[in-house]
Amino acid sequence: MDRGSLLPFQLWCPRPFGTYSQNQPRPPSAALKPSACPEPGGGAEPDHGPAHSENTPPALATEVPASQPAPLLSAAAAGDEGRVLLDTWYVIKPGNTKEKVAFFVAHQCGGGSRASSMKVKGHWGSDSSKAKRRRRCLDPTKAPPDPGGREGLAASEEGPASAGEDVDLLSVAEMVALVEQRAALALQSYPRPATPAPVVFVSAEQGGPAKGVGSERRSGGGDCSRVAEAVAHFEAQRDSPPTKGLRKEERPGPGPGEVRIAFRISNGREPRAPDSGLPSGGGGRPGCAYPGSPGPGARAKDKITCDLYQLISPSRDALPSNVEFLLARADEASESESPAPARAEDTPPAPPPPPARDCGASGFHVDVVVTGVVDECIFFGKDGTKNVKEETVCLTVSPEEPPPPGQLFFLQNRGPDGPPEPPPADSPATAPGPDDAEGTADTSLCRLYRHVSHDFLEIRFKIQRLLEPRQYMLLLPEHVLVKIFSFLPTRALAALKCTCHHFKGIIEAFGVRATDSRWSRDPLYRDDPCKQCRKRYEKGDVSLCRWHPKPYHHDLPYGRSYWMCCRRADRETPGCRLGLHDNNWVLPCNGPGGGRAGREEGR
Amino acid sequence: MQSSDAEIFEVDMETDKQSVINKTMLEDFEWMMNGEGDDDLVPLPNVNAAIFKKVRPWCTHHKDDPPPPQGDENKERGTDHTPVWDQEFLKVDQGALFKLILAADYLDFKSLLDVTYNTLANMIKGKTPEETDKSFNIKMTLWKRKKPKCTKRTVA
Repeated sequence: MDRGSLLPFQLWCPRPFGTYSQNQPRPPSAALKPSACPEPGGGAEPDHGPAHSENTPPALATEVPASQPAPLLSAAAAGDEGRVLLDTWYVIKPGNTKEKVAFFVAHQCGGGSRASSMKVKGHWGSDSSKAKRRRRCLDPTKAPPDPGGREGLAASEEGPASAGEDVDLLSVAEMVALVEQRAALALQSYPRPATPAPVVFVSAEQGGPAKGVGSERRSGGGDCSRVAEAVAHFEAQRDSPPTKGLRKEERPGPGPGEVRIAFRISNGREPRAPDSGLPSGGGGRPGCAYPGSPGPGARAKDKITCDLYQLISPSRDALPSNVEFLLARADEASESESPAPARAEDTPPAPPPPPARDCGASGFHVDVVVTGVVDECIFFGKDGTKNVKEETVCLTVSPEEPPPPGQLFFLQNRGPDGPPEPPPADSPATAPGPDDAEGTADTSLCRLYRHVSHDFLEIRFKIQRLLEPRQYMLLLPEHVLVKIFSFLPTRALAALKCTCHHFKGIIEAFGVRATDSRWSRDPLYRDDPCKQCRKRYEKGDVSLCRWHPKPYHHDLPYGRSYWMCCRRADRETPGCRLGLHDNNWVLPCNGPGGGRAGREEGR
Repeated sequence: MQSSDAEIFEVDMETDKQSVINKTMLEDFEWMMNGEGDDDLVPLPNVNAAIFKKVRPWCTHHKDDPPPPQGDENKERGTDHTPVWDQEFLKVDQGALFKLILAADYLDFKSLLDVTYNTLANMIKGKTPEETDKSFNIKMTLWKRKKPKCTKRTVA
């Protein structure tokens, strides 16, 4: 796209798309035909000078980069006051984008009085009536008040089009141009990122209607072409019929939350271009997040052979069948080598070409392409379109380059020759071919499974269990626990009984006595009750005794009764004295034969 | 002696006689060998090499100690009478302490058992049930309070 021919003011989106609020006076030099709404009967081209509009940020008014392409993402973030104008991109709804894009593309390709064909409304001024008119113009439901704008439309190459559609088309184009404009502005003030944001990239071979535009744009500025190309590509996917080699699952148009992941499998027997051609060849995706992203044309003719959902299945039983399915498909692709015509319109739109690696022998390479409406949980098939965006991701990694983040343990270390090859036949020391094929298949499967793997989840759970502190106390044998508990006082033992069922059971079963217990151990007095609370001993009893040290006072019938120790009136009040149970009725060592002997004498 | 992980240790009869099992086993092996050779190994299936290496210094340090008291006399002595050297010796993590207990229990080192039991009992003392849960990672708890059920009251 020739940026010089597009003026920011001409393509500025109106207020509804999130714009600046203050009115900016137009500079006198801006001989605009700020042709949002060109003058009636005026087929003159809009002026290319800068213009201030009500919704034009001051920065844009003075700095109008003419021909500097801007990356898609950085523009919005940098050029705006914290607003991400790229969000407007997501306003484009697939339903009516096709027409807008077609018109837009037609304008770009038409040349000539392109400016006049642009839906640039009239120049902005302090006249609020014009703003209202513009808003009314943009609203397809309302009648366009400005006849000039409509005539401008009629003169465009798009042919007879309704006013509403023209308004919509302008909005789309304006948004696109605004994004690019701001990206350029951002680049002026910010350092250009080393790698553009890899959100959207489209192969040069893909997308029918956008192909010409893409080539043109690429010559002028690759970043500027991405937006329109992406839209065209997306629309092409949705509207184009299933092409050759596409499975029915590959048809575009996934619904919200629906995930379409298709991948192409190649056995790697076809010769490929050397890696040196990759960076230049892959001009369509310099910003691919994965190094070694494929260049164009290397394997574009490979058929889409499988749907990821079929492969990634929670049931392990599906794995062998899927592996066999993949291998069988790979063999079929190699055996029935009828190269499909490498026409852009016939190639599957979804998968990008694989990395150009030199692989003389059979291998197993899988490219996974995600198309459609996806969100960050794409591989788990979650519903949710909060991050609705389209991305075409190349997941194939060349062996020479370091694996992308998160894939270190899922990729085999490959030599410089590319993917693992089966050993030559004359090498008896090496493993046989099928094993290597399975290894390569496992590698590819590992790649596919990197997001969904129940094995990984199980292993991780086991590792977590190993790392968390172990329950050593519960691993000790019972006799050891009994001996340990016998070293504890009554209160600690009571706390242990409250801690765990296992401990409670051991204390009660083995009759663990606390070190400070006053329960008599003499079997003769086992049934003697506590002298305070009259409670009898039970195995494992670690309770504390509560009693009233002084008796309950009975008043006369006309007076009240109370416990003399605590003055509580209720006779059933729990004891105000807390201590250990004691069933030793007689103090030990009181006189000769005291203690138990004294009890004998007393009988 | 050979530990559970197949590591062989040379033992001294005098030092390892503190362990009843070791003493018994050594005496049996000594009788069997009759001086014909010393290639026989005394297996210790429940003791790994790391713990055995930890136990041996303790045996060496306490080889001249009198036998521990029997019955409840040791408990009545209380848990605060552990020697300083033993306290320093038992400043290990929970895992090592429990392994020492298991090794001492298998080897029947009564004095080491008493010391380790005292140490563990001191770790349990003074803790509430919640603190005990947290210290020993015990998840089977009885102290969790039940949430009061909200009863609906109908207003006539």
